[in-house]
Amino acid sequence: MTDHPEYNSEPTEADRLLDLYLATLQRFEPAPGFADRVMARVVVTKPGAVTVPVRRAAVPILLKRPVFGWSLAGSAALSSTALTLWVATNLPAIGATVIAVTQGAGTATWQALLGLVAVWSAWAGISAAAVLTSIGPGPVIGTATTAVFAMPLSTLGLWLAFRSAPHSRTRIHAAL
Amino acid sequence: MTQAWRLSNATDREVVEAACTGREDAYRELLRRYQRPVFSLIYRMVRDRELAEDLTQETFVKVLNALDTYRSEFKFSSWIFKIANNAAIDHLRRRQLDTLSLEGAPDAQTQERREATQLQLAARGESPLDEVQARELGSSIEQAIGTLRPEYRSCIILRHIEGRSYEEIAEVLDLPLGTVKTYIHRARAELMTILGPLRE
Repeated sequence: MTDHPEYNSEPTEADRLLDLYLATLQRFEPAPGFADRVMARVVVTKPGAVTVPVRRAAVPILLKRPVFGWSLAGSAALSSTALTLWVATNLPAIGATVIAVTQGAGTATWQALLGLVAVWSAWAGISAAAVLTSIGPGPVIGTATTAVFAMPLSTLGLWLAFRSAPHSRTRIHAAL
Repeated sequence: MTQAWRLSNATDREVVEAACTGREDAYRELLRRYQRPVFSLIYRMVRDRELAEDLTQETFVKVLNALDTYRSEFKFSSWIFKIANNAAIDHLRRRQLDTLSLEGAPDAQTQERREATQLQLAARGESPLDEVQARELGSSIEQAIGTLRPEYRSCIILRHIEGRSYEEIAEVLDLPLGTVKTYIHRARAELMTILGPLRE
């Protein structure tokens, strides 16, 4: 096809003549007063009554109701608090378990790390080794475990509690 | 600078936004811009002035009362032409059914029964409106367009009278781009056949 997709090849005399015919076509006008007749049947939107269509990520239908959102937020906060308390009260036991489990591979890695630090910098190595040896790995592991479990739950709960309600549904661009 | 001046220079999208804030002049601006194109499309489709005016009015009432559902990623012209074209096509389909029923009840077994169920049409005199219509649609090209299938007719009108792109016509008619090109090509071929004898 050429630049004119109407033609299969170069425009023929017939094509040109048809274009001349088509060029004579004009738009028609409805009878006078048409706009007034339409406007008499149109409800002019009141300012502020318009809702802006907002696209949102899909949210399960249950979460659209505030009561479910607050329930989930509450249960998330409760569970994370309970988990934090449990970890705090059982810290020695958790530490002992983690140490026991990681003793084989963990101890070797720990020693290698200390050795590496000592080789890299005598002063830093000695200081780090002294601090780490005095506190031991228990508190570090306990704190990290608590944070890992508690943060996602708390964040989810807070997001559900404070997210704003949907403004309106997205409408499709359908012919009425 | 007046608000009216600004509206007449604004894009369709801006005018729709203004209408959504409650400005009646924005509604009237949309009417001013589209009443002729929409009426022309429907009139050439249904070929009856009075009916075309009713369908055009219905189209505008639907569109203007649903402006808050307009999605700005689409062209406003595509949206309104789509609704107008659907209104015309729906009417043509209904008229086809009515035409069938004018022939008599489909279950009529005998000639008498068929005649009894036929609708009697009053003879229509030539009103001033008919004269206007005959003048408007009486040219050879208008008559030739009137013989095309409705979907070919829509394509030719949107392309050659409204100057719409192939892509927009595809959007308006809900057809693949290739189908639109084919329809226009075939419609042109048919028009050339019909108008052929006039060249001599």
